[in-house]
Amino acid sequence: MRAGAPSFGTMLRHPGVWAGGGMLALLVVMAAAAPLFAAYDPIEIVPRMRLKGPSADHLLGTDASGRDVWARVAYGARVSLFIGVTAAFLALTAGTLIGLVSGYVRVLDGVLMRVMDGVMAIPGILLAIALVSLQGASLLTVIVAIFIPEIPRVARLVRSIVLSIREEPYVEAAIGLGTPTRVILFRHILPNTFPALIVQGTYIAASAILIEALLSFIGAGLSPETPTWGNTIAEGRDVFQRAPWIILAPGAFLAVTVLAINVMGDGLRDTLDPRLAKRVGGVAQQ
Amino acid sequence: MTDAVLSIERLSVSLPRGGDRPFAVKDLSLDVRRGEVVCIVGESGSGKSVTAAAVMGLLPEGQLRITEGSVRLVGEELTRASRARMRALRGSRMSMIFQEPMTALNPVHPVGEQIEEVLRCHAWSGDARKRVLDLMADVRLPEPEKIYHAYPHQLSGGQRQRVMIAMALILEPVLLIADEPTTALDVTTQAQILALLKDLRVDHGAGVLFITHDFGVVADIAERVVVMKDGLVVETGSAEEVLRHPREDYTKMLIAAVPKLVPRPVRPRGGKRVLETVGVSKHFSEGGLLQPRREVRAVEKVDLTLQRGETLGIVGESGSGKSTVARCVARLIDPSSGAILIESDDVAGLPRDKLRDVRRRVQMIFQDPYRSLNPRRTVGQSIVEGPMNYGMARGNALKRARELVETVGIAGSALDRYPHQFSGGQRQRLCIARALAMEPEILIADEAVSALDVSVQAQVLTLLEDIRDRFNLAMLFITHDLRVAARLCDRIAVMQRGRVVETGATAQIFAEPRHEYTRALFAAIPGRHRWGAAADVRSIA
Repeated sequence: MRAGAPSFGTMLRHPGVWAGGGMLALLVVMAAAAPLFAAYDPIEIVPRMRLKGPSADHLLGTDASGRDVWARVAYGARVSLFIGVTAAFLALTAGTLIGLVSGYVRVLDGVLMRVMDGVMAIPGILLAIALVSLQGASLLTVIVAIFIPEIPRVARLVRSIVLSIREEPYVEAAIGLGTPTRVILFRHILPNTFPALIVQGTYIAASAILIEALLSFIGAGLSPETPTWGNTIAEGRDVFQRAPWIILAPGAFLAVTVLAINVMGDGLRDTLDPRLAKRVGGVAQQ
Repeated sequence: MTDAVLSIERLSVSLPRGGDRPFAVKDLSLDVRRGEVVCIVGESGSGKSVTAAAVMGLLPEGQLRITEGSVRLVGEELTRASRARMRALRGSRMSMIFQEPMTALNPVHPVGEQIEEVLRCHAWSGDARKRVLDLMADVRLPEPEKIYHAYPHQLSGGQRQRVMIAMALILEPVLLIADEPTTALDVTTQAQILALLKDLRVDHGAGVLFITHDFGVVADIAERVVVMKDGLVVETGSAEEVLRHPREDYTKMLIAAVPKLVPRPVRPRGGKRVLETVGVSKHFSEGGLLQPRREVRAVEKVDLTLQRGETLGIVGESGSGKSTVARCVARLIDPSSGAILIESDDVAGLPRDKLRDVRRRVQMIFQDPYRSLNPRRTVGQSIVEGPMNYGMARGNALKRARELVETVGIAGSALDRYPHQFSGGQRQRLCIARALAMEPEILIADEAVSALDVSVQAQVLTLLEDIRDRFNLAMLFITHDLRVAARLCDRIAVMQRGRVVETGATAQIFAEPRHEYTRALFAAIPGRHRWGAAADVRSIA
């Protein structure tokens, strides 16, 4: 291991990374192995079991249709985590490409940024409702509706970093060494965006999970029988007084997931920078 | 010591655990008397700024802590003073001026109001506006009425520093702490500010604790000197004594490392001409769609020549266009007009994609060693980047990089490390190795030693001289520092406002500066009376 390189080991030594990452790992295992953990089918309606409180049989009680809330939460984690990760990945990829080009190729900057301004002017929720009413509710529509409005923020972030890094003497030195523009962009400039992108990515993932829940909650998301955290919360709304667990259980998972992602994001940002890495881990100096 | 305004006894300040030493400052004792200038001089990391912060009660909380000793301001103990008392003392009884007047002033308020704010904070009764204007006149700001309403960015660096001084002196403090107050200024401005501080000390009678790394400044302003190294006092005494008969080896080394104002002897010129610029100009245009267009003539019709094995110095103050010339020659920016002949090829008009050959032949070393290596790439990766761009195999490039790193005086194992693991001087050596890896004909050093401590600076200058002779390089050396130019350059071109006002052999320019601006530059060199007075220079030339 080269001294100073951020290794997997130094990352794990950061309390934020292992705490947030550990919580996320538990959630992923829960989602992946949902059939093992949940004894009940998350969509089967059992009328005689409506609105039962938490018990040994139904750990988190049942909802208004007699479905097991724990099963719906466990299966719902699949949807939430998938949407969070996918939306963040797509928004980061698209936004980074646009930001890099915009920041380095000055002639395209004006055009690209005005397009981004235009996208930014569309309220995310309206776009989602429009897309769902045009295309019907599907996983793909929801993801598209969530990641498109995030692109301009990523693009602007990357562009601002590119604008400052391109003035660094080491970029000038690379130009002086005859390094082609494309290589300068990917070798010298792009890595400087990673710490900010990781933080931004975790933020997008967290907010994507929240937006999906919100879309489901207002009825513009996935179809109501699909087990998602948002759908479950929406169904619990009318009976909140009598059966608060229907909202509290998925709500608690939502909060913990978003918190875990944010904590891990902050930790990763600290460890990914070789200049900061020595503060957290035992990276040998000299 | 009844007349001591500041009396520090056995002061120790601890560093947080895990630092490279347990104390930032240890066992420091010094006195500053009324109307006296005491200089603390030392290289970076010597603890001189920490001392100033300790006196002002401005040590970063939780990191640095006074563990021992006493600091008394006119008899009042400061180390145990309450926060409220320290706040009352700061600005009224003791005040501080900083290195960078741009960042020490708030950009969104007019400077006059910022000075007046000091009066208001300390509940001063009287005609505040008149007091501010009086003091602005005292620090020799032209047209105080007008400058009162100016914002910091509308003033020059020297004017901003004068504003800071006015702010510091407005309540007639007994102690003024100046932390490298002239380091960010041009040499002619520096001379004015130093003269001003000397006069004000007489008029206002404050004791001045002056922190600097520059022995030239010490020679100009200090009455007594405290030399610090690694948090310890190395030597203390009157300026005369310390400068003339330094007792300690470290002090001797520091004084010896200050480049003498003695130009290098003329060496025979016989190398092949590799660079010639003919009427090179660079105009920047500002403004655009909504603002009126304004053209800035950064460089105007510059003619220079450079031969193999020779160093041409371009000397000038900030804004003189010296760096712009260098960047035009390196084709990092496009000249607006003129020809740049490298051997016989004109590269001034070559489009960017035809510059491959130029890039190999011209290499540049930058000022800031902390920013000129990519912090995320190992030193080895940075050095082999150039040769590999030109088709050298990785293995060969690495082998060569190892040799070059050793040539510049660093162990070959450095290749696997990251830039942050090296000191500023080491990084500058690595940048030189990176440039050499391209086997250039022309090496441009843009203020390459300006950010370095004086002892490190001397080593890097020796290295540059050594590699120039060893690789028979033509070197273009950009600097604001005439001492450094005298030490290294065969010929000098003096630039002012984008034009070359004078060129000639270094010895000749030092002996008989023809242009009035060149003479002004010489007159402003700090400590020139002590090192290489004009008479000595003449006798050598």
